[in-house]
Amino acid sequence: MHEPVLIPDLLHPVPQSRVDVEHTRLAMALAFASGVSGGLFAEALERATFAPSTWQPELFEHDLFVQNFVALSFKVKLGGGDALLATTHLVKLLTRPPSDPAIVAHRRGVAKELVESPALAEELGKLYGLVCRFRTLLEGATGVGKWDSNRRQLDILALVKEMIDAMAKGFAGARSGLSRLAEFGARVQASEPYRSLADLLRYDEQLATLNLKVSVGADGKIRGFQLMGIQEHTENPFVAGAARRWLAKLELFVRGYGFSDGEVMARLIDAVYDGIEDELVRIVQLTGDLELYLGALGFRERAQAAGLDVCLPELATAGSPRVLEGLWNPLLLAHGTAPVPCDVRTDRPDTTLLLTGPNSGGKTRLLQSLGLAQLLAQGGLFVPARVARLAPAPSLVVSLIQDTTADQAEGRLGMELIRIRALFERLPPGAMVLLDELCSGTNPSEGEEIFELVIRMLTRLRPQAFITTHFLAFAARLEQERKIEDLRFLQVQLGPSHEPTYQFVPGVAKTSLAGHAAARLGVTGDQLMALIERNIAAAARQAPTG
Amino acid sequence: MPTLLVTSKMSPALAARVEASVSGRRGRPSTHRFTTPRLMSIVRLVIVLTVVSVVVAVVMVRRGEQQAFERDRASLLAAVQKERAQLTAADDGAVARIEAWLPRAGGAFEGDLVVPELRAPGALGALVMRPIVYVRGPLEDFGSIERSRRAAAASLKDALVVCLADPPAARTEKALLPKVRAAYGSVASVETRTPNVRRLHEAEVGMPLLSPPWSARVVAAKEPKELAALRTELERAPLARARQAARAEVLLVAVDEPGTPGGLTELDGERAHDVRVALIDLAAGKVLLRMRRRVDPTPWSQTSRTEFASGLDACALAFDVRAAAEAAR
Repeated sequence: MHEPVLIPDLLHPVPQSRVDVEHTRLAMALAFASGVSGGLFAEALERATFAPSTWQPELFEHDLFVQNFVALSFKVKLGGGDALLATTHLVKLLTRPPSDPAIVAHRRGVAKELVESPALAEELGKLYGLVCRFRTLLEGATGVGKWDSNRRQLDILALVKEMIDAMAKGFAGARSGLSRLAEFGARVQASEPYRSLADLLRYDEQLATLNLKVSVGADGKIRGFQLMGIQEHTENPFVAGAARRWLAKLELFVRGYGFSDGEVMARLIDAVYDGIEDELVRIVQLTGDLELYLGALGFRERAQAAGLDVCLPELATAGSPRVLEGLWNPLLLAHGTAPVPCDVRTDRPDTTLLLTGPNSGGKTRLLQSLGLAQLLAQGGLFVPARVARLAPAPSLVVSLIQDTTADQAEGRLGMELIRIRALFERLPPGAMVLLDELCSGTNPSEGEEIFELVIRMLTRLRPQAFITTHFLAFAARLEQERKIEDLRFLQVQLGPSHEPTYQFVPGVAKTSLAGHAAARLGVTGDQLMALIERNIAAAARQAPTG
Repeated sequence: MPTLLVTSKMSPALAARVEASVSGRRGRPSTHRFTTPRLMSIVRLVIVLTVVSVVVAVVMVRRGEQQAFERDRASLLAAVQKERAQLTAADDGAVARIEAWLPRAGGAFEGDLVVPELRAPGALGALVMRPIVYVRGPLEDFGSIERSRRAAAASLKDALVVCLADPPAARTEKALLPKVRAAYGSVASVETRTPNVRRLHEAEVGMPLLSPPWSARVVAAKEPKELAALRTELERAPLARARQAARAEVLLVAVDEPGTPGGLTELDGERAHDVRVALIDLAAGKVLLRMRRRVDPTPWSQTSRTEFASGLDACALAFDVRAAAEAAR
């Protein structure tokens, strides 16, 4: 027998309740009653739990600029602008890719169907629009809602009905995890609280129908009305006779409430809200799910608008070749720079790949691209590549930034050694490792020794390692000796004039083209001499005369 | 707890939630942090109970006051009834019958008259010992009943009454003066000498209180203050004397005609003038004696005139009346 869908969870094959239900229900009830609960959704999502993940966000989140990536790349169009997403929740969700392949497959299925069916994507966008309106009304009373609490609450309940209807109708043909929305919507529609909600809204809008005959004079002005008939919708369970309504008001007054029609409506609204309350908590959780998929679609649209491709990657087994064709850096695109796609191929995923090439040749950007692609792929989302085949990694460790702090206890080499020690302390077998310019803080001969040690040790853990270095002679020696079995080499491809092409080919670079970089940045002998002469002349002009 | 907000068309689950919403059993947060419905209900109950208590107290006090008022009214009516029980049918119209004679007494003087039966020796003396109602006043006050009542109010038992009952031996100042002093003495002394004589004013004041219209005022009284005033009026009224006056057999009327212009006026207002005296048999409706005599204080000594001019003239008048009656024999 088919189990009824209790939770519209779009992230997991087995629906999970991830928000704190009791806390969220209480916060929603307070917000519904008072209209003052800014941040209810964001707070509930920030406290949400996630599927088990072996990834530790602190090992890569900062160096990969995940926060920036989400904030700038995951955009959801709403009305004329971008919706305000719960970025913290999205970052947490992305940085904790699920360990269970079934969950990843479930998410890929949803993403795939959204790409294949623009109608479903549009329905999802409409549903998110309704959710946002619901959130806005619930979290902050504005306009008439400030003064007419019943009107505001009825508007909220009307939106609830719209959302349920949109789920039931809009996703009826879905085949992926999106079908859960239709099942959830249908289940709620069949329930008594939904029927009561619909009845209350009809009661609010149509207590009775008057049939009027309007007489219009020759001058076009209304001359009179004639009441032809009154039809009271007595079949509605909320409709009661006039005497009973009056007595109900009296009863409420005795019970400590106000003596008014509004008070009667308030009690009925409360009763209806009480019935539908549990479903509303699920919608808070659903908001985060919608933002993930719509954000991913937004990322895809932004890429396509820039002429870049994204794809749902093939998740390969450990022995399959790694293929990334048309890989590009999302951070560059997010900051308005047109990224240059490149291809990266290795015969196996579990290799240590040494990247060499000139400064500003795109090595660090490649590491970022690889890290983000892995992150998105294991999250079941689109990766910034035309074609991708990746092997899941149990962890990701990224070290791209060499921060210097005022209170650091060691010099540059010391800090780098501490970084290496920390890496090995937490590195599980098979993890993905991205290291930028390992051992660049000491003299090359001593640094190379440590470098080689690190690589030898790393290979014992069979990681998917990508390491950049400027120790070109050392890298060339390792390539020639081939003493380390899993070591691979990739270099920045140079153009005819030795300019970087931002493409990568097998091998070790012959030069770092420091001179090119120096010339590009104005650090040649002539350029420095010109600056010196200018400064001397300026000083002479300012010296006192006589 | 059932509520009128629940209709028969509602599902049981919805009905239960409506009841919970009304009874506040859902434990949901309230926007009214300091006024839960239960607290508000208690406050309202206290207010209602207070108002009801005050209203009940006020009603009970008013009812108690009303009952006391009705008891007071009943007791007053009972007192009136007790007094009325002592009246005869003839007593009710007595005052009117007496007052009917007064305009005639104040009209044109019809000449002296002494009926034959009064001319017998001792007849006048015996007559003045019968129950008498007395009134004296200036001539102009006898023109109407209303003015005669003013005269009656001012009319006291004077030396004329005393000296008619107990006549002086001679019309000398020496003989008159003891009688006059007695008349000027205490009320009790005069009363002792003339117990058979009542003032018309006593009947005019007392008898209306025993009449049905006065009882109707008691019945119609709406305020305790009004009833208290009526009770005070009844208690102060000389009812026994009124009854006695109403049952008088003889009306004694003295009408002071205006004095001669330019004459001497004594300190007490007395001066020479004519006085009409009439004795009327009320039962027979017959004038027994009618005469006009002149009084003049000038013969009296200066000392007596200063203090007793009116009294001496009145006593002398009584002497003259008795003398005239005897002379008519």
